[in-house]
Amino acid sequence: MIRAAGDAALSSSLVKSDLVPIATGYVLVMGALAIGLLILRRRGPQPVGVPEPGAPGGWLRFVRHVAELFAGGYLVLMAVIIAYYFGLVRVSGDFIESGFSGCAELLGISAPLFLAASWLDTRRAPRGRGTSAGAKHHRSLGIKKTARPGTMGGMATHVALLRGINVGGRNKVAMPALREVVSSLGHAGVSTYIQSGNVLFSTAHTDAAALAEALEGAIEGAFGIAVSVVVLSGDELAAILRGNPYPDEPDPRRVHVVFLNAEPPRDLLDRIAKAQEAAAAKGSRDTITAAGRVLYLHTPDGYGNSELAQTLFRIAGPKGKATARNWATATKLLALCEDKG
Amino acid sequence: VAQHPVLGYLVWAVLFGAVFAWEGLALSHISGAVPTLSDTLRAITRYPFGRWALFALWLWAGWHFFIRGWQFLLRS
Repeated sequence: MIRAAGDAALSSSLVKSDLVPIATGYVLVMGALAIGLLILRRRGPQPVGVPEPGAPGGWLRFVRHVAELFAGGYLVLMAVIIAYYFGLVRVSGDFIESGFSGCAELLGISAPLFLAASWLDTRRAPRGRGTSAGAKHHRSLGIKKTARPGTMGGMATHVALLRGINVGGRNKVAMPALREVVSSLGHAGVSTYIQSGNVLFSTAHTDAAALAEALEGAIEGAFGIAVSVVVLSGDELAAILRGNPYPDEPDPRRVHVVFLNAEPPRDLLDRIAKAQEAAAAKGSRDTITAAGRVLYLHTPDGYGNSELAQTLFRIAGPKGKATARNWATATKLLALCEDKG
Repeated sequence: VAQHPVLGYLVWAVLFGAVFAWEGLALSHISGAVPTLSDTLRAITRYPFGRWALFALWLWAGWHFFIRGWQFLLRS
């Protein structure tokens, strides 16, 4: 009788001191992560690099990705358990064994749920966007889709380069809000790189000028600022980087790519040539090379004090359709494009 | 009942409070300079080892919560 009362008190104690707070904490953590996932899903379907099962060959990649995650996570934990509990704390073998078997048990329980949740996350994200206000905005601009709605097939990664945001306290744009705006246009896998307005997204649309126009309108609508946007596909960016006329420059901050929305007209090229001659006459070693709709700017004595760079933006930028990125940023953007596949 | 459950609750409250405060700050920060939890997790899970480490942490927490029964911060 006394023992039963003691057991009841112990159970009550366990419930009060351990179970309730731990369960509450776990629910809170899971709730926070669920909200995070919801936000990520609104921004794009592949926020953590999970391969899309619906894409060609995607199922194999998806299953391999999850299997790799399970095996990798389990092995990392086992390595930590062995190194810490066995190597440092010197606990008994039973404890280590319980770690191995307990975690394997958890894996077995969570594997089907994890697979299903990952599949749902990657599958559901692109759906519903086709009827969004952003998609309607695209249609109003005459942008055609080339892929089956609700799939990632045919989608190409694009980079949108915004001009002059978050510079010197002007044109402040929060990156999470910017991602929301780009996602609202129906684009998938939206992410940003640093604060200077570099947005990566996947879309089936192929008209870069129309995409840029749609983005400019959406940004002005959301933030109330007129920002010019240059959009280019991952393939275009790769071709631009391959065409670097200054491959021997070791400092990536001394080569800039000036992206334009269209090929520069003849008169602009003439003015640039004259500006370059004038700078050279003053002893400057800075040079500009035009190729397609980009200008490569080489400033071997530094970009910040380059008179030619200032002149270039004075003559190329009145319409606000030119934006520059240094070589480090440009190559990073290409790497991010390639990561998105 | 444990001698210092209040301390345990307090520590948990502070930990979760810090997490929610961080998320709130990140979501309200106009410049976007403060990353959200989502940004953070994405930054970690971008790389295979990051994914493994995070999954290992998740397993470790599950092992303690559900297999071992956690005593940490709640009992003497």
